[in-house]
Amino acid sequence: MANNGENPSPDVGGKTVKLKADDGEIFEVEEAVAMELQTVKSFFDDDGVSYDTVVPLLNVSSTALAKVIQYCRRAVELRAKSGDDEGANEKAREEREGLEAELVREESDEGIKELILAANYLNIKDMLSFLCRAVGDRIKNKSVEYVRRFFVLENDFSPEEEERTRNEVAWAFEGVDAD
Amino acid sequence: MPPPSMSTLPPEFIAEILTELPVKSLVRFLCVSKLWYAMINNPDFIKKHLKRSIEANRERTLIVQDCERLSNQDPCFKKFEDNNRRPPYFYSVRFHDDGRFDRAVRLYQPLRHRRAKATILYYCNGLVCLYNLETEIVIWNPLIRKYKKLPFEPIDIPSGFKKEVSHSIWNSPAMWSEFAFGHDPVNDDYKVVRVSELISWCDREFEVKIYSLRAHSWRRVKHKWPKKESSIASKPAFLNGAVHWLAATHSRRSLEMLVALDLATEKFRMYKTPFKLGHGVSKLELEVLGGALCVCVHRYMEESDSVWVMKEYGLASSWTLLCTITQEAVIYCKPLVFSKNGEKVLIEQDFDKLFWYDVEEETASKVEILGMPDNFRTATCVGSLVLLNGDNVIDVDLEEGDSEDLGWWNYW
Repeated sequence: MANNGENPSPDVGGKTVKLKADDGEIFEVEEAVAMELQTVKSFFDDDGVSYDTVVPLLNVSSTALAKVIQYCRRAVELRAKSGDDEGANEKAREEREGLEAELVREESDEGIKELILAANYLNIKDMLSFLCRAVGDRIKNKSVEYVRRFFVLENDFSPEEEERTRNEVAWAFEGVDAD
Repeated sequence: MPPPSMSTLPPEFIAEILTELPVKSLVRFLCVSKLWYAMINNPDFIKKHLKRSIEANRERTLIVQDCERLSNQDPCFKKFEDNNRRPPYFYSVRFHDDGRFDRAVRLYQPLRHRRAKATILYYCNGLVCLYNLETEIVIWNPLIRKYKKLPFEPIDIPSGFKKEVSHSIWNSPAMWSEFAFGHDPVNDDYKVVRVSELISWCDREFEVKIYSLRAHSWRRVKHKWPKKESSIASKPAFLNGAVHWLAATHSRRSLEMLVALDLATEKFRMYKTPFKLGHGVSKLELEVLGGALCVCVHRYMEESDSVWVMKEYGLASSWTLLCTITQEAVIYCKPLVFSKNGEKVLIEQDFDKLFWYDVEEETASKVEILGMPDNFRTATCVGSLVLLNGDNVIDVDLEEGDSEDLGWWNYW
């Protein structure tokens, strides 16, 4: 999958929408795909906003936006495939899970965080859902310090409080991945 | 407006991530920050996490009670005579969707009485209820190593209870108690039920009391035991917010009744069953399998046990034969869980066998678990944070000289 902000041209004949990332790069996407992004959908729901307007997405990097668009495009395709046929549904579900796994597999922590923030800002429910699972998987064997760094959290316990809790549940600190 | 960062993510999003985590991680992450501590301890979060665990069968684990030095007797009756030996251990065995079992890991349990061995009473939603012959009872969450000990509760002998004439050697009524454990979904409470039968030569009375984990106290159940002539004749089975027993009259010539006590309303119900002892049927066991009540029928003349399932709860005519187990049990045969695809049943038999039974093919494949004790009983758990605010199970052996264990025990 392309990772360099590549911008495949949309199908001829469909309506498109223009999205602008934080560095000014413009992405032209099919309307159906753009509407997966609730934030974009709300933007056009306002009266008097023409579909030709470029949507400014100030808080999304072009790298993240490219990946989001890729994901949403495939998600829309897969949804169109599924219907009443249980076999087809099962296959579509498996493909979607494969798509999700591939999206996060190569990502660094910073990359995942960027995707989360983008999916959150753009309000893409399905993407947020699987990103939660991916993050859970990533942090489950990690130390407390790692989690604090990942979520940018302050340790607001006093040293005594923290020591007490750690001693009570010392068993939970065993077998943890080294930082 | 400042750029968004991970620290400004909405709490619902963090909660969603936490819901995905196994319980050991969540216990560790209590230390991350005060916000995370509060989120993980939140009862709604614990409820949601448990629901997810049950639906996905997350962290499914067998809790194994070592029943060593066992002959053909119920381990409940074995008091531990040898003062110099520690009581046998418990173990945990993680099992996976593909039918694989990890090795048995030793587990400390909270009822560490020198002479009275702890026994599994029942289990539900990741909690295991243990008791010993000193009538000490605990509710234990083995996967997070927390427990709550029940307060002692006497049996009240009603004042009008007719005892024998004064010259009889029986000055007080014989008392016998049966226990059950389950979850009250209406009040989201875990409850232990004690049904005590008081028998004298000329009278019989029942006392029913319930312990509530929320209230941490016992209270008497107002609704009376439904049939004085019938006594409890099986182990309990918890399903649909009620505990169930098979009950039989003392002549045992009647059909076995199914008695249910609803944990929310604390009222009894009775259902007919097609089963009865006699005519070649030597034993009936009540269990729960795949979300339905299940009875395992032993016929001592034939070399098989048959497993029946109550397909529609409450409908006596819905008892259906699930399968016949050709590997005959001598003492008991207990179905535990279905395999993921529903084709096989995990069965515990006679304190020493564990096997997957293919329902269609009627074949058994033995389960080998490294480190499993020779004689055992099991309970099944999923990942749950209930009792997170309970007491800690202390990892201390009662006796010294236990050095033979330091070599291979694993923290888990």
